[in-house]
Amino acid sequence: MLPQQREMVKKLESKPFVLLGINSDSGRSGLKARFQKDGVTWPNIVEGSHGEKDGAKISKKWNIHGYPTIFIIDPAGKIVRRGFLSHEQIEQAVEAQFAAAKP
Amino acid sequence: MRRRRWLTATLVGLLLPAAGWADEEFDKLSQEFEAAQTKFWDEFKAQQEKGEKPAFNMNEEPAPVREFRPRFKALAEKRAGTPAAVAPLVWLVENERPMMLTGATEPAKDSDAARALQTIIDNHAAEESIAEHLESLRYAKYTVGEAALRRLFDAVKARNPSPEAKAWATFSIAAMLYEPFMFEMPGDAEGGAKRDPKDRDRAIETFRTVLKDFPGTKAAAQAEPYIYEIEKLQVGMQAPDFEGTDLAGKTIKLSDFRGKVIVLDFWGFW
Repeated sequence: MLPQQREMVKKLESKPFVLLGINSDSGRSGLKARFQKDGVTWPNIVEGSHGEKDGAKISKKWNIHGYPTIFIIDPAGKIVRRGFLSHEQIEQAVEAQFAAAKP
Repeated sequence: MRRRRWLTATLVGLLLPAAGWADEEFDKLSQEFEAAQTKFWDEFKAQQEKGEKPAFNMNEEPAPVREFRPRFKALAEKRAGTPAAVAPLVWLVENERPMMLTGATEPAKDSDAARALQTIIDNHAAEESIAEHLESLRYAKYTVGEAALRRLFDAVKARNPSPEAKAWATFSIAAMLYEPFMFEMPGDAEGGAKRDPKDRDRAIETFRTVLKDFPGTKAAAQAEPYIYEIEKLQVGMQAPDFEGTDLAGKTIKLSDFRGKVIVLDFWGFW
């Protein structure tokens, strides 16, 4: 997913769009290098893993059943898609949102 | 496939420490079976990668399952009438070929899995240690069908003296009702997937029963996020706000991005 996500973020730079990651890896310390190496430049909440104390707080509250789980949220804050979506499905859903926003 | 494996891995991780009935013979047999499975699927993958036609096709039962079934059956018989019979019986229930692969529309009544489940219902529904098996058994709906599993959960609710076991049985009924809504289905985006929305209402009522009737149980702790998911996280609902910090320690809130199309991605490198 990462190469496609990098491309998507670049392509939609000027659009009202954000890719927001909730990263549930363990060991915050090694992640910085990993993010840099893989070009993860978009905003990411680093919540720690399920096994860590106080880790994966958002994943647990949102009852995430597996990874990666995607939610697509429209500009008004409404959930429009939810689940294990493929990159193609994500792109289509985002484009549909832009199309719907046009006057 | 990936989703199932993740779920199974998580469930096994959650439930193993609670395993009450140590049975070395079962553990050894399971390990042998797991090793045979790994070897079998590694060979399959290697054949595929080399571009060879794999010696196995999806229309047949994988050889390790076929070879190990008599051994698990024999162990279940050897342990018959004791709580240690449950683990091999559960193996028999879960390792039947799923209906989606056999093309059957109804679960077979005379399969090893169906018989094993009936034995669990008849002889083991009142045992305390049944609790640890209930959550993974939920996924056996693909082999023995939902109705048969529902009979097991109802039997545990009615006959088991342990609140943990009753709570898991109730939780399992709720989760089974909710499962079709748990993952996006084809047609969801258009609002057209074939499901009875009343099942979702029944699910939430049942999850609430777990909290109300069995407070403090493990199942109650797991029911809570399900209730949150059903009440707050369905398509069409306003996404609840949350906050966390990024690698630099800066606070990020979901609501910071209001006015934008948000792709919220729960992920990890692992």
